[in-house]
Amino acid sequence: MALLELRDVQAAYGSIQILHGVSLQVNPGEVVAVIGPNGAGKSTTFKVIMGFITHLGGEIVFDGRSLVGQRPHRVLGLGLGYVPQGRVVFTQMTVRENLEMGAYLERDRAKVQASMDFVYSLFPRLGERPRQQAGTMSGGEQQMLAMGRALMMRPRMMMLDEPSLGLSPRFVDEVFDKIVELARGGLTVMLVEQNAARALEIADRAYVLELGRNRFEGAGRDLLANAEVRRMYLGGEARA
Amino acid sequence: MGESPDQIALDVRDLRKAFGGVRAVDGCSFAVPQGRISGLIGPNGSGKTTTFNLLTGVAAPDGGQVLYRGEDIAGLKPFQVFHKGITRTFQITRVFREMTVFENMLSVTTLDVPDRAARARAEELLALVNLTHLRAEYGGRLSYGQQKLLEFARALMTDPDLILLDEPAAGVNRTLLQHLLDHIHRLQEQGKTILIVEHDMHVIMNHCERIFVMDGGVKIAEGPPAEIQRDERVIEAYFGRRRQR
Repeated sequence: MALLELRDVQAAYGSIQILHGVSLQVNPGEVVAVIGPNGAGKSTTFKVIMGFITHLGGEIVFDGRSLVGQRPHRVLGLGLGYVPQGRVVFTQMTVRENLEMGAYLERDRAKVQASMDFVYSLFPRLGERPRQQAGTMSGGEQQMLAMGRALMMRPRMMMLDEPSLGLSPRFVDEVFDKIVELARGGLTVMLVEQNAARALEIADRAYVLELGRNRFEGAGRDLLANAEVRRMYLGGEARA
Repeated sequence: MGESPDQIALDVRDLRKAFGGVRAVDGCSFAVPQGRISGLIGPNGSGKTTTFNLLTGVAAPDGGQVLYRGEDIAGLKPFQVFHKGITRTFQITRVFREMTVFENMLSVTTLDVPDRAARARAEELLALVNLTHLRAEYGGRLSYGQQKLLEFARALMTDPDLILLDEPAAGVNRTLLQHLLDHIHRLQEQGKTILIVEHDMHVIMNHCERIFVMDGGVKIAEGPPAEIQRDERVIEAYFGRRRQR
């Protein structure tokens, strides 16, 4: 059974409908990529799942429960983590405080500490400087902190919106390595990327959205090899 | 140097800027060749965006010179730099959120009433970046990628001679990016000078003729793409070891 399933989801920002019928499935342990042109509704899909924007229709089921009408903190509490676009960290807070914020729903201090140890082992750089103010870290480090914060609730599934955005090549490598490492450890992952070729390389399956609807779907490797997908979404050129 | 003596569009000399105790740009010098596409790369936090801010009057340098056609423009206000024929885009987009897409395009014209030519140009550029269908939409309602595209289109409204692009590829669909790059080459053929800050190595290595590399607020390397890719300091500071092929 799918861990997350969307059936014909429609959603809007205020009065503007962005999603006109998106359906997708994410099975336990999978890495699923969502790609498509600007304005296709990729980030919007994540936001409606998390309960940030207006749901107009369709089913959203996570782990057998409907997420429709749920508030973001409830969705988080059910085990679905979310890393928004653009390295959103609390810049005035320290690394440790940012991670504590990620666990704000967890009252058990021992569990919070265990999660923090897990995040520090995954991202040693964060563990080396728990007292550094987040705003003074480099872009790559902030992205790792944002991921670490989402992991503090020990989610079963994590949604990452453009994790490589604005990162230098070595950090892009590191971020993708960490996603693969987390997936191998059993975390289910769904990610949006404009660096689509890179995302398809690590994805088990992928969905292509366009103008708020499904356009293609398939195995990551197959989409990577699909001439039409390459021409329309990947810039056409062969990857070195 | 054994290269053709290019004309210099922008001569940056010993540029300096500190924020509190942090020397973001620490004596940086480089010369942007006229009529070419150049790239400025470096790790996150190396001073690239601050350099752009110093070149465009968004921040005032503590020291150094920015010579544009022989005139020192360091310390001018953004609008003064703009009137010299220099425009830029931002990494964190700055569209007018409560203006429509079309109004955003016209906002940079100096005319009180934008004339037919300005409107036609706006339409043409919106078509280039695939935003025609959103022309009546508010800027604040666009996705991040679409805001980047709107900024790109808006930067070209005034027919600038020097165009500074801060991460034009970030968040932009790769097929559309290819169209933007084709357009950038057309601008170059018209004699424009383009300087691009970018982490997308496809853009930098395949489209820039000259690359400047910053780290720790200074230029650590400069050269054509093939040379930069082999530069040990650049590999260490920027690409990471795995990138070596």
